[in-house]
Amino acid sequence: MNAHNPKSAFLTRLPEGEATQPPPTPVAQYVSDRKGTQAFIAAWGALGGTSQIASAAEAAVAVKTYSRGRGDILASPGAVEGLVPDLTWPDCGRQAAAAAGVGVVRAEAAAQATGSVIIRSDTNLGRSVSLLPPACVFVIDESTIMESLGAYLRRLSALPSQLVAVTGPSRSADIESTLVIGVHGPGEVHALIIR
Amino acid sequence: MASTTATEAATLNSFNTRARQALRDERLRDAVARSTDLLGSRRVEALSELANADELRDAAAAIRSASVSRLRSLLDEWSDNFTALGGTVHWARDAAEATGAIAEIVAASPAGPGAVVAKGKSMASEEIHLNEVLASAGADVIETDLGEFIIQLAGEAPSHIIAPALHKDRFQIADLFTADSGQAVSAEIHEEAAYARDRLRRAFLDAGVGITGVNFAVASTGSICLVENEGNGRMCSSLPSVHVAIMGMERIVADLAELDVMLNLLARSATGQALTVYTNLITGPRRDGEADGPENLHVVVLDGGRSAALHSQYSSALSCIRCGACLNVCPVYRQVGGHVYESVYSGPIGAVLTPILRPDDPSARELPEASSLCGACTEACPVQIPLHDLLLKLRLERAPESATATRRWGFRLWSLAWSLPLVRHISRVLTRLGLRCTRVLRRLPSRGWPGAWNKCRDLPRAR
Repeated sequence: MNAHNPKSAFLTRLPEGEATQPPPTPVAQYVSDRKGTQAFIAAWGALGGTSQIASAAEAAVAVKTYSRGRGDILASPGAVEGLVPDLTWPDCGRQAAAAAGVGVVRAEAAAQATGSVIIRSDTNLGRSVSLLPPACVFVIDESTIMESLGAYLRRLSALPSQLVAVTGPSRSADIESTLVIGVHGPGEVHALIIR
Repeated sequence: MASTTATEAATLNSFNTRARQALRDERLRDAVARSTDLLGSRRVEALSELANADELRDAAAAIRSASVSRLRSLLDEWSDNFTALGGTVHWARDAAEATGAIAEIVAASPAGPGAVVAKGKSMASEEIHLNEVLASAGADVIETDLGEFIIQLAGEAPSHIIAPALHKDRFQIADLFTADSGQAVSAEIHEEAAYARDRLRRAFLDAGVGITGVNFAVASTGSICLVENEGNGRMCSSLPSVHVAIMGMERIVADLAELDVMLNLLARSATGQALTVYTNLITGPRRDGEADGPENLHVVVLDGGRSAALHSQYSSALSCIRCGACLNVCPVYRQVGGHVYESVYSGPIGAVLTPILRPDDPSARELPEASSLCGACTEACPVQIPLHDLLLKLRLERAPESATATRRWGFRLWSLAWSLPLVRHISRVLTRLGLRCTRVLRRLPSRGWPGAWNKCRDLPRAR
């Protein structure tokens, strides 16, 4: 290896490592008496998230109803059909995300065991929409609710630039171990489950 | 102590001196006890939600030790994948190389050397004293994790791996925030959090560079994984145009299945959550057509003494995933908190890692003495690091240099005496007689030379 190449210079000092058996990677088994959508709703609710089941036709109204009194809605394109078409990402930029009251994004999947919503960055799906507003609506297709984050990760083929499993509202216990909700990210999170 | 020289006293007793000071601080002891109790009991509860927790812990231990034993190939694979995605890797053998690389990245960023740098929680960055270096180059570095923000204002170091401001109460925090804002911030926890949210929101939006740590790098995908609860890590890695992540070189797993095993244990062991609120898996910088995310993504891979540990009998300490579970159960940590260790890493893992990462520092070498060897740390460790064994080995290594000539000769004579059957027999008879006198011995004063032993222990009663 070339000693002047910083990578080689760094790596040559490390032991080669014997060829060993790959370590086992068991799948976690969760103790739970619920299954499916109800399990997700229970776990998400225990963390402080709210949820609602609606049909695709009811979704836009559901978002508007939820957002009443919470400020401007900022939705990424395609999150919900027919929802305030003039307020869509990415045209409005990061500052708009910072000013919005409610961000609306479509989720990739949800995990029932931990009450997690999985979102990804994409051309039509900015990161700030689900991060900067104080409230966030995750639009979840009921068919994408699966056992766990692990089940999702294990069948993932291509990764986006950012994949986030959101497990409840933003929180901190850094002051006297007392739980505070909504420290930097959204303090109110709503799962809109589309049947 | 009168019998030891001044230098010996300084090195032998400095931990004890600091510990005694901490023991007199009621506020500190209350805060540490409250937090460690809570974190410890939540951990047990969270692990009970897994039907196969033991199997997962066995697997996690195997995964970590396999990773540590083949770091060269895993880092090679990860960096090839990460670079192909458009990321830049910086290989830092020591703190100076790491801070130098990051200072250069900040200087070359669109905002220049005076950039606002929004920083997420990173123990590796504490190791290399990054903030001082960047500040002296003109950058405005602001810690954005609530606990880190508090201790940055206080000018202190973290006192716990995952709860850095655990030693502060809300009244002390209100004073710090009031001084920071110039306006009165009340000692109400929600108001304090709201102040930090507003104050730091501005920093996130102004920041030219975001700096975070790395929990795991994934070799097969070239990803980095970052877990956090507040959303500040997500902000630091999403909003500024440049994101720099600092990673201890051992923090790598082979693939997403291994990552899954680790994620199932990390948050449970740390805070008792099934997962942290945000599990961020970052795979390269912003892609074409994406509306936000950093244009430039850098990872600084830090050795900083780890490769030396890799070749030693202490390599299993590199399996650590920084959950802090061993701190919460440690009878020493629970009494004195983290600052007395005078190290980035406190508690049992700190007492092991510090002398390994700072082999030339005599004050680091006394830390393994700060243990009762009860093994609670080993039992709590999600990746089964034999912490109390390592502590004992580190003590053994130090024993020859710390022993006085009297002690050395004393033990030599004892060993010689006990190898002779007659002398051994006589000593057993004397011991039996001696044990009859325990009533007297139990009343030995707890001051002076018998005190160190006698204060916290009782002699066995004679049968």
